[in-house]
Amino acid sequence: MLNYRLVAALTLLCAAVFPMATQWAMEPSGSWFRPFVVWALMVFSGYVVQRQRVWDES
Amino acid sequence: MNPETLLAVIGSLAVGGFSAEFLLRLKHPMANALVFNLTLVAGSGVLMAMGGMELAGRYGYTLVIAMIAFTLIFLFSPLIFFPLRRLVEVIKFATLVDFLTFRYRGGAVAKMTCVCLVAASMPLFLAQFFALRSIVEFNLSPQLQSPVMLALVVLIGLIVARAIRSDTASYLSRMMASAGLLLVLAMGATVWLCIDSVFGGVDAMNQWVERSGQTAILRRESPAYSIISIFLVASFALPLNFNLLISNQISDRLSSSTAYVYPLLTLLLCIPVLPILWAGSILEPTFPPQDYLYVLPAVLESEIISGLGTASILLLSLSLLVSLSIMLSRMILNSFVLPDKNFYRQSELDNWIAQRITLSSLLLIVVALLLDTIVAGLSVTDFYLIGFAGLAQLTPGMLAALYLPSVSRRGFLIGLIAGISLWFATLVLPVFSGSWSGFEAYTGVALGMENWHIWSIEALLVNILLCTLFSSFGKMDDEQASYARLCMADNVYVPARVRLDQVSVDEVKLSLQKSLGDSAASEVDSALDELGLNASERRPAALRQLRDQLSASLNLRFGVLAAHRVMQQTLPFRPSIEKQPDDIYLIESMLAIHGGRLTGLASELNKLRVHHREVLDNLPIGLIAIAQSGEILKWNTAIADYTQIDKEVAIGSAIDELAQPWQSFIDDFLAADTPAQDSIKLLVGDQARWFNIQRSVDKNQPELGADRVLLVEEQTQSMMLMQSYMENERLASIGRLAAGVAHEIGNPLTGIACIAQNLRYQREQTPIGKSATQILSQTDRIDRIVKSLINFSRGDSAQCESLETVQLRKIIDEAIDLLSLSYSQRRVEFICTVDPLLHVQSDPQQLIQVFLNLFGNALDASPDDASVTIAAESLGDTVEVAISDSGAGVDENIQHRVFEPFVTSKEPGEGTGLGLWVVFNLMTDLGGSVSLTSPARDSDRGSTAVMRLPCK
Repeated sequence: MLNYRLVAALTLLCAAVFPMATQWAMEPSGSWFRPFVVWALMVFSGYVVQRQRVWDES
Repeated sequence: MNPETLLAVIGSLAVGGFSAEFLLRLKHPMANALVFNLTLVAGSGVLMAMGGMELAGRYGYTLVIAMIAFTLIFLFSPLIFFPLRRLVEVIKFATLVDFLTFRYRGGAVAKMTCVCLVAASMPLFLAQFFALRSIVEFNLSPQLQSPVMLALVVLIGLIVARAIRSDTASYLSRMMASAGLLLVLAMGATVWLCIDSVFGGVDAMNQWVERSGQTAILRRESPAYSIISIFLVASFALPLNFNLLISNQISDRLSSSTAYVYPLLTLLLCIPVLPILWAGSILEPTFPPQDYLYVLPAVLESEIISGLGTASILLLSLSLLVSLSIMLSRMILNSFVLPDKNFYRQSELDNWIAQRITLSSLLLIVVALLLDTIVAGLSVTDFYLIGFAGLAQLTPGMLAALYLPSVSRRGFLIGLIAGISLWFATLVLPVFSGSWSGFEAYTGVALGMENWHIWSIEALLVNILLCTLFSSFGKMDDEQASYARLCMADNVYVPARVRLDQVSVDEVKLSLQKSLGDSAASEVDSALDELGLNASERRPAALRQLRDQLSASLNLRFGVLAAHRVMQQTLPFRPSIEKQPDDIYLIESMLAIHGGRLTGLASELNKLRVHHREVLDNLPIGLIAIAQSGEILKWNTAIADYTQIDKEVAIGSAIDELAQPWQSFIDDFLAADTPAQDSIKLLVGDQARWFNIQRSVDKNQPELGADRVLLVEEQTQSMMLMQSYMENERLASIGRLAAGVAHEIGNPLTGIACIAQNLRYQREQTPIGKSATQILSQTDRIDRIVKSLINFSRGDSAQCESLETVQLRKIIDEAIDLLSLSYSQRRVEFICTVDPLLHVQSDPQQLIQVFLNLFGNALDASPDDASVTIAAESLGDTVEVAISDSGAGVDENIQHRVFEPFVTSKEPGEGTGLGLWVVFNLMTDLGGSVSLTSPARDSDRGSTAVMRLPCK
């Protein structure tokens, strides 16, 4: 029942993507809105994951 | 207040209300998702509207990461909230305290959790009052501020009373969605105004940011780790988030929209924070950053946008104060009042509860107002940071409930008490008493907000550490362990197969009345409606389901503790010293419903389960699985066909509930303790049926014998064939005997005939001569009969190998003569109009047997004094013989089947149903055909058998 794909995604996010994304967002030469871009990508990934779910009610 | 601002505030409130209502009326999934997520946004709306600017000013980009962390819990809701929702589908919780009480058991857990939650939520109350005071102080003259604040408190009381009297959840949801919508509009309008009026466009703003070095300021060192961790952890324990996401009024689809709509809305609210903050740093108003949402538009002389900002904060504060006070009151009532309340003596219980919630909510608001007057020197952000640090203390227990079954009540309580005490001592007390210099001198670390980043994390770590230690070195009792397993994220709730003392719905109602009084009946009726069961239900499994449903419903009404007390007092499970097995019936139904959620190995196992179930269901013999308690667990299609009892009715029932004769059949077999019984005769309706029954016991695993599996096979057809065979054997013996007797009779009969003939010649004209003539006539008759019997007995074993020309009339007469021997008492006349010149190609003995069967049927069907007519006519190559009677005829439903074996219209025991089948086969052998019509030809009753025989 446990969603192992989601756990794997979370682990990947914490281990690899998050440090990279933080480094890119916080680059001194980068635009001020870069952290928001990272956030928007996370929102989009949340949308994609939820779209793939199968609902009992449907 | 500026009249334009006042108008803008009123107009904004109206627009917000109407817009939320409009979105709800659209009934579109996206509109529903938007409203639901706006409600969630409003739950932390004041933090975003006011605290956001201040957080960004204090900690730079840490605000962005903290808010990402705050929404991360929703992005990963399948790991946290969805398992909770699955549990809530069955158990039903009204509040966060109820969930923790259900998991860790006991009144101490409920009371302690409730106290912690109320204490940790109090800073959030203060933040709302702070926000209200800020907008009142900005917009109104000093002499109006106190009366307006008082009016606002009265307004909150009125809204609380109104919300409780109506559909609370729906009412608050509309109010909060309106507030969330206004916040989004206000932030959007303010940032647009700031960028346009202060910077002159986005590009100009970007250049200003580069020039002024703002990006470096944003990236400055800050206690990011503490803020991110506490925001992440606290968002899970926020009462509003928890209540909304586990609400049974919210569908799974809607709940899942929080994974992207809520983070998106939060992102949209966070993006304007930095431009507004920068605009403020240029305009340099006399107000702090937390007031920029309505101050900057006023400075820029846009009263409408300022009014919009004011309206959004006003509505956000009011709606959160109302909803938070109602939620906490519900928790207080469920934890402290209802567990000991005697519901039976309380008339109008729901009203009584509503009154107590209203009073408790008002009390909380008054306490918060009093604290607000005492506390000074803190900002909205400070209140939120203190509140979140307190709420975070509940999260370890909540996560452990889902993922760590070894965490015990003792560990949870000690961890929570230690964590919340440290939080109170280091962050709350200093607000009132200031930092203790002695402590600071001794440790080098000051208490209070100055070191929030240290104390908040330390309190959380102490909580987790003590919880782990005391759980690791303690032992859980069975009850705790069972509820711990039940709450696990990957667990499916399956109640044990235990029995209730009550055996019917009426008994359940009567028992529940002892605790709930008159409301028991309506409670049971609504539970029955919910389950789709009827009031005549007696199946133990269904009654267990009803109990679970009642328990869930009472959980929602009175909380876990009170519901548990009521159920234990009124509907306790029957005590048993044996370990109760799981309820297979419910496992099956749950797997059937939730099978789609299974993945990997579990999914494969489920497919295997479905396959095996189908194999068992489609077995050609009946299969019954019976639990030790006598409850039926399996009832396959074949046994349903035998018994005409649907599997939906049978499964879950006790054997005692089955209709007769099945109940006695199964009970007697189980009592007999034999492995098998053959050919048990049952009278089903008026029909006798025979069954073989045997039990399946696994000798290698005798413990599985607790659940018995019975195999039932119908033997009726075999038994009838066997009986028919035995009857034929008996008749054949009689036939052989008759042939022997006839042969032996022949010799004395010849002697008698000779003597009578001599006597007639000698005394021709005397009375003796006449008597001799009569004796001769009678001996002739006996001779004919004896010859017929001998012929017939020879023909029994003869095969229909060669056909000969047979005089039809002679065969018919012979058959009538034979029949008159066994039907001598019947006053039925045979009228034969068959032409003696008609001949057919046939086997005379076979043909006699055909006529015997047909005439016999006609005689059986005819009443006394009736007649059976036999007519024949030549149709060229065939001769058609019609035998008509005037009996009751043959039922239309079986007319087309009368030539099949065992089909009969006679009363049970009077006919085997094989006569016409024999006729049909003989006629086929003879190259002819036979058919039956009812009513008879030229009549409205009776029936006619029509034979066609070849004549050439």
